[in-house]
Amino acid sequence: MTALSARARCAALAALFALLAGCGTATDSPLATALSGIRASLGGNAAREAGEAALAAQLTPEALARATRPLLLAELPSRDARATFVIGGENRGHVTWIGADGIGLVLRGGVLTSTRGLGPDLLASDTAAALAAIRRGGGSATRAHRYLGGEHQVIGRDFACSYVSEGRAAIEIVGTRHVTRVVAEGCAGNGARFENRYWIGADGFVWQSTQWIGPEIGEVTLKQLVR
Amino acid sequence: MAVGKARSRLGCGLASALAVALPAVPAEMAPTLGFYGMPGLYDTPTARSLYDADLALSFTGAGPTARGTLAFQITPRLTGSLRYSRVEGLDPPRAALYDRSLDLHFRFLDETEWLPAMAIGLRDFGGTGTFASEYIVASKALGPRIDVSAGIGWGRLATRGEFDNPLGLDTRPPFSGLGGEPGWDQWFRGPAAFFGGIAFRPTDRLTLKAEYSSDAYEQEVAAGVLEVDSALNFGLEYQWRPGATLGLHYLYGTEVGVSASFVFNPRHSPMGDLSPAGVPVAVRPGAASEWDGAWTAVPGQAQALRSTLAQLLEADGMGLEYLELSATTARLGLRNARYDSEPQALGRTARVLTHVLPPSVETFVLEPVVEGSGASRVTLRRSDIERYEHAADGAALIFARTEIGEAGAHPGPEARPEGLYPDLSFGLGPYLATSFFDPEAPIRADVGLEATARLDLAPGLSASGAVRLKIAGDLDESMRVSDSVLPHVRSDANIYDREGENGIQYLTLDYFFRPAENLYGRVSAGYLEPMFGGVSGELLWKPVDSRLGLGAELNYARQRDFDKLFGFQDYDVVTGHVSAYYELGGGFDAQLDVGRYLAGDWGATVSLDRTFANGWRIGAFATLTEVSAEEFGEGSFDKGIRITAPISWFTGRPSRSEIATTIRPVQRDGGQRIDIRNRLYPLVRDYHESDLSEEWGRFFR
Repeated sequence: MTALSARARCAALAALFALLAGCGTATDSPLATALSGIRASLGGNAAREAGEAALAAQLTPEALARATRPLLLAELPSRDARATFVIGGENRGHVTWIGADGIGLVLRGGVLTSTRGLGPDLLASDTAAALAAIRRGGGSATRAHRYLGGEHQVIGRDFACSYVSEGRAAIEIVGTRHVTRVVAEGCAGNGARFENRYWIGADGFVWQSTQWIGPEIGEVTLKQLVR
Repeated sequence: MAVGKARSRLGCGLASALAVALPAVPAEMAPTLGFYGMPGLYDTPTARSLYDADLALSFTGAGPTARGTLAFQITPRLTGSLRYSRVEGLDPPRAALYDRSLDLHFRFLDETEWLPAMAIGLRDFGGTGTFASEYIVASKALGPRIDVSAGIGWGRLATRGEFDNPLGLDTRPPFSGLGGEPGWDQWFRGPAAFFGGIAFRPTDRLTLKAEYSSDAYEQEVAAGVLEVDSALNFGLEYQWRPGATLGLHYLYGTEVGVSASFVFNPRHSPMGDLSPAGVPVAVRPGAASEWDGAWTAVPGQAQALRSTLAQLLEADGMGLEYLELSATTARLGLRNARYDSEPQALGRTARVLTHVLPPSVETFVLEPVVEGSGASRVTLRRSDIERYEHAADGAALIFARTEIGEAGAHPGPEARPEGLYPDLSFGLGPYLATSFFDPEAPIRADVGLEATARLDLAPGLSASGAVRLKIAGDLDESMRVSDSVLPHVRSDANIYDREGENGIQYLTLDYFFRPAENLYGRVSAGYLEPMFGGVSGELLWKPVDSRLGLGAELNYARQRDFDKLFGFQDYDVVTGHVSAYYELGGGFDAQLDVGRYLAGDWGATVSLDRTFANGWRIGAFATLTEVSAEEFGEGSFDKGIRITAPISWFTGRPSRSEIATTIRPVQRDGGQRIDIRNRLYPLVRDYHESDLSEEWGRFFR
């Protein structure tokens, strides 16, 4: 590696850090506006409503048509919150999506494998078998979830899951229509029970999903705004 | 993403915390707290325990008596508490009697299908004896909503319906001495009496309680401050938030009583962990054969990497002390000012390094630097970090392949980023100073601003100081005059509060160094603490993988003027200790200090702390010195409890700040140590093997 490319990488890295620190570099992009709106929403209800309004204004087909990179929308009903995410890194098929305020979501093949910055996060998981079953649209699999306990210890929770195909459904994400097949994933274990659902395009791409994070946070709805 | 309302999160966090803590035994009700703030009904105890590590703060009032209690479930079976009570009209000519008392409650038998749980307890075992009693009690659940208890009591719990001592120990000697010493010769002696009661929980939030009390409140009745018409006490409690309970009661047949209690568990933060996501790992492109070390030959490259890395670490609340580079290895001195979870700091740093360092660098040697000295060395493989970033047990897999050892010597200035020394920094923040248990005002407090400054001159060498500006408070209203016959090394604290409210807290020159392997050293000089200045030297032996640490400290101290400015008084002393620190395991730490205390008295201090990986520490200490109980005065010897709470537990945000409180029933002059603010052991052990392994699951946080 030459010195020049090292410097180029450092510049790219600085941009990534700026994003992580919550100060979007492309200030005129819809993303930056959305991010700043979400940040402002931390200030209180009025600011929160203003932030939500700003986000809603950006979630239009026209604004999304101008987007230059993949964009994911996550909605957390238990927090009454939603935000957009951009890709921060990729490693062995796991894509790290970074949102405002330091929230991180990691997806592998559309299946959530970990979260960051939500509080009682999903620390890590093994969802390889689940992913295969979702792609098959049937069968059963075991999910291995990891959480952090209050004494910072890792707590393992395994879930036995079964998968059924629920047929075809057409969904609309901010004006774009996708014809999908729907796969439902029912899981139980450790006294908890949850159901995930995936809306999968013809090429196997997961356009939309509702996925359970953990007992405290409940489920998140993910919608792919820009692929 | 916006966070939810803090209110609802607090509730659901505690509820889920309890759900995790509870074993799946449905038959047993959560314990109720009695009017003594311990598992019980009103005056009488039950054989229940709080959940392990629960802290319970409670306030009760009825008639002339008000009590505030802090109880702690020390182990699953052992409960301890410190209580402050006020009884109007019991200590004439004063308006009220104030009493500090300590209780211990031990559940020695677990409930089975047929047998009850049983517990034995001591109330007020080391106070002035006003509330002294002992008991053995049994509790049995009748289904999931009814809990009945019955027991036998001595002392105060045998003042109604009493009978001859079943063990034949009929004589209970009267209380003598200055209080504070265990009343061995009184326990379980004198008449005994039966008591009992029932708790019924018709809904999950409502509890109805009734008891037959064997406490006739003889002292209060004799003093004419209470009428007692009935042995029956009853009432109801309502849990309005998880862990928070309010109660309304009818006691003694004459009085309305009120209660409020707050129970929480240090093991379960109400906020969880809101640390922002760390930077994702950058995976090296191509194959290892393409990664060469040609970059090492490029002039200025190392310094450019140093400067980039320093900026990135700084953006994440950390700092770079040094970076040594070869084609395959990076050795990095890490300053961690933000993350109370040290593996989290290491993991975030390692991930930053995957972005900054050329691909040929495979080995990351991270050395956490504390006060200029390396506290340990953590050696990681870059390919492991790439491989296990998203593995379910990634942190554990990395830990298994990580070497933790002794830090190397501080490299020369050429390995440092530019402009590291000298460095001047300032801080400004609020402070809260408290004083407890003054009979005229049980709680006094000052609030104000504290300004700090620190000048780092070279690795390990720094000057620092703090001044306070009081804004409001009543610490200066204490006019008590110390009656201590010892040198007034601590008992004139209220004069310092009065005359030195805007003073210098500390102003010192400190030097930290590593004299040899496993050894850490410190020399400090100046105004060491609010009441003493002088010179202090300390050596600590603490191998990275050892549960044992040994220390020695020697100080020459001179008492400062009451105005907390630059002057000194006449009193001076050579004081110092040898110390042993030992991790007992299971979350308990023990410490023994032997030496000479501030008043010139020789003796030893024993401390026992329960520690939690998240930073909470709850402990107790006692000091016995050659000072006799008579010379010492009220309380007979120095003792107290201490609580350290990490700020991150309350906020969910990473922080190395803590709130630390020491509560002594009585502050006297015997057995007092100089208050050095940067002793070596707590600084160093955070980065040693056992502390790192406890929290290693947070490596990828």
